[in-house]
Amino acid sequence: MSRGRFLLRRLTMLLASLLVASFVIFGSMYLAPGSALSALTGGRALPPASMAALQQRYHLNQPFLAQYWYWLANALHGNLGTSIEWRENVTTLMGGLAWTTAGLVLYASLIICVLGIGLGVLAGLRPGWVDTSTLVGTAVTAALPSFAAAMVLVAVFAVQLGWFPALGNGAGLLDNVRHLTLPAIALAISSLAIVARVTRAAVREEAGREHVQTAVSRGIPYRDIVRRHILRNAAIPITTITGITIASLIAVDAVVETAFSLNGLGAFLVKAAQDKDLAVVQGISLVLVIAFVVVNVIVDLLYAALDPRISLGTAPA
Amino acid sequence: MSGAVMNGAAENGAGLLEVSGLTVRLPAGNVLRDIGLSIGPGEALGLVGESGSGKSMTAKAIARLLPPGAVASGSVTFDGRRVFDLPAADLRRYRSEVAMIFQDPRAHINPVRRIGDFMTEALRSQGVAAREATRRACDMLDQVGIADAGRRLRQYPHELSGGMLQRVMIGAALLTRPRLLLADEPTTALDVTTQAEVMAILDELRRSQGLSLLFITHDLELAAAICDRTAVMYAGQIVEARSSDRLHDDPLHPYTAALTAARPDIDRTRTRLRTIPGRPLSAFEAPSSGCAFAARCPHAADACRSSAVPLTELDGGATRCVRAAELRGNLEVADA
Amino acid sequence: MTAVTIRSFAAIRRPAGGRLAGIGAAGIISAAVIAVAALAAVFGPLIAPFNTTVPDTTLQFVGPGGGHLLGFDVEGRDVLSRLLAGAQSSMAGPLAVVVISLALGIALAVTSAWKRGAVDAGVSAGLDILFAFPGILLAVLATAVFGPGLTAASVALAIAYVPYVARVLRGAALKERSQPYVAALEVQGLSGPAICVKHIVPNMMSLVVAQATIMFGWAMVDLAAISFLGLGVQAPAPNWGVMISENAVGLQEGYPLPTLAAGACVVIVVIAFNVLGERLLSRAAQS
Repeated sequence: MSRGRFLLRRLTMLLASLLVASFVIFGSMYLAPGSALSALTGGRALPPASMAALQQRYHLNQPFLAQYWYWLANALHGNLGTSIEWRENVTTLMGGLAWTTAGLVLYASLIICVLGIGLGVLAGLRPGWVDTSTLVGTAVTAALPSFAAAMVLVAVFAVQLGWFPALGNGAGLLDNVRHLTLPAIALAISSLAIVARVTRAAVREEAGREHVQTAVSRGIPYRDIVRRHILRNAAIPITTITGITIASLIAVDAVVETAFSLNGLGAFLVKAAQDKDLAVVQGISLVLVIAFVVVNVIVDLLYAALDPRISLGTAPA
Repeated sequence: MSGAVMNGAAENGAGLLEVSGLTVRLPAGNVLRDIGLSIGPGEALGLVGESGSGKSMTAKAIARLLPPGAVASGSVTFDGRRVFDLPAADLRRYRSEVAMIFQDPRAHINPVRRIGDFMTEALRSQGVAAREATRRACDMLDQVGIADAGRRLRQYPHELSGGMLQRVMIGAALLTRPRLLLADEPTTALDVTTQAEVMAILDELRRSQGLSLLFITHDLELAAAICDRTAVMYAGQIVEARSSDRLHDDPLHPYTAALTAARPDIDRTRTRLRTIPGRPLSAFEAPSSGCAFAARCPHAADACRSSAVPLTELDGGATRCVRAAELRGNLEVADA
Repeated sequence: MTAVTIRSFAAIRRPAGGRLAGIGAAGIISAAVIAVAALAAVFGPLIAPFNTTVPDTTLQFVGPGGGHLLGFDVEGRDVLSRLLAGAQSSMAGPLAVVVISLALGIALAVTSAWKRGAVDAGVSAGLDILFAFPGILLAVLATAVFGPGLTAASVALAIAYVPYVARVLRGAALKERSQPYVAALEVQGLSGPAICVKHIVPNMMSLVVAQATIMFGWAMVDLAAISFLGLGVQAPAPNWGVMISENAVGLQEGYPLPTLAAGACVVIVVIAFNVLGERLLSRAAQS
């Protein structure tokens, strides 16, 4: 199987994942006690005209698959329905919020990549205090859930030291960044620890491999060996774990947004779930799942680019 | 003293590689004890021993590839310069003059880089232009018997067989025009037919380039095939050194005799395979005084166990056996 | 091979040295922590020294003192008592998640490994496809549809974990399946399901337990997050996740203790599960 076919197979699987996920998101309407209509209204009493409009928009008198098809087609055109709570287009409501969420996830990803991989590489290449302190530090923080980290960060850095604000989005780009810092750290901290540990292990393992010894025996300078053999080879597992953890940020960011009162997609999702505003929940879920799948696609692309052996079907360890 | 004794090429002047009194200690214990050998220009020396005898470690010591935590004492001189004292820049030059090839080529070549990268890496780091380096690599692949060199250079290691990879490894090692090649069991991981091909290439290239060779193997006959002289190692020490043909017919050390006898011979019939009683000792387990082989030796006497045995000259070779002179000619053990 | 020999080969492999060997000091400490948490979960509401649900706003955020080791929370209730009582829902949810996902995961993994061929390929492909749903997202969706509560969230989480569990266990099941004793049992006439249940699954137990332990930690984090978001256990019921969120206002007002104490409970227990799980995993890998 060539690299091209591997990618094609992965992409097809991911597309299938997307379809299944969207199916689940749509179909959840029918899992609820009562009718699909009552799920959509969230138990609210609406005037008959509005109920009829809902029936129409969701094609509720048509077979299930047809309804799914209409919903999906609409979604792909950017029409995610109307919020029952806010009486506004879901897409419009989501628009401004998406920036906050995207910014937060990107900020956290940056922290994970720079600090996580950076610390891991340093610890992997040099035994000594850098290594020991990284191991200890990551052992503690790897298990720190985001909301716990959020509380500690707020208690220490916002309330005690006053370096960062505790809540809200702020105004203006720089202020936004300042407001997103503690949330980004809270979001990143446990992933950072995991990435650092895996990076360190990968670097250690590659440094001990025989082909590195061959390069040393040929008089190749240490710097080049680190770059071309150790890091280049370790990049494979490092990319995989970083990709996985960044993808997982997409789900957890709802918790962090709520903890810091940020108005992002995640916080809105939670509020909509509490309000039983199904259209909004469905819309945001779909967007988040798409983001999750896109990140996985990027990871697969990088993996294929980095490892020529995958043409064998399964990459060796 | 052992260096001078071992130098079969004494007529050519000082050897290219001189090792004397080399002792290597790991945290677990001694790995090499008082190793001495010498290789002249264009000469091939075989180093034979079982697993744990320290033969790979000897090569690594010479190549300055000892594992971290290893402490080496004694002297290794290349072309008159002490190898252990070489500063960084000289060390790099040394590494291009002394090349090493390894046992498992698939593990020793980076699997995610192309063959061309692997072969030209050393040249490029010395400042040779990429295109020139590739041209030389192409020529070299032809010389080691790999057809369609241009295409092979662009391939990845997993696309080549073990035999081809070993030829690539040999070719890559020879690209920097080394003067000494350390070959650590290069054919052990290959099947017999490929083994023969690779050995042939190695031998031919060695002769055409006037290369010195340290050939490490566990197979006495294989060493005899291409090496003028052979040294036998046991438990971290050299126990015998002799010209290869005389080693086979007239061994000076009971261990060598036992090794020769244990190898199944296609010309003779036996009812049982000959073995050496007991198991080979690694250097860690060798007794601190007395001959390390004494426990398994059919000719062991009290004198063998009492004190450390030095390597002594005998009839053009060297042996670490106290009773060598008196056992001469009687070491061949009778058929079972 | 005689029947006796076959039986001895088919004997269930147990780690040498008893159940506690090989997990190290850290493992033993973790196990102890988990035991304490489990005891709190079972007996918490009974041994809580003070009232856990009746609010008293005059005592809001009063600090430790007079038998109240951790002070009072946002509604004037004793924090320590609430923590003890909250252990129950905080541990029961993850337990349900682990049990359900393991049951489904083992069934899928063993069936897939036993049948091999097309069934295996289909199940693997299916599991790969289901990976797209992060657990928390599915749980939020479930609570939007079914209403907030531990049940909906736990079941959703369990379903979200199944692809991962099944994948890990499938590898182990495949390995067991290809062991010679299985072929021997087949030849003896034992049926597929019987072999799976009586031999393959028991031999995977050390891995199953290790995975269960690790997953308990994850489930605890995810469920605490759901409760933190107000979508799981509802206030005023005691629950560590709920306590973190309802006392969060205390951070701003200089009373961090209640929320941090609840957070600490979650973190400590999760770390214990992670450490123990990792030790068990490396021990399982060695056998």
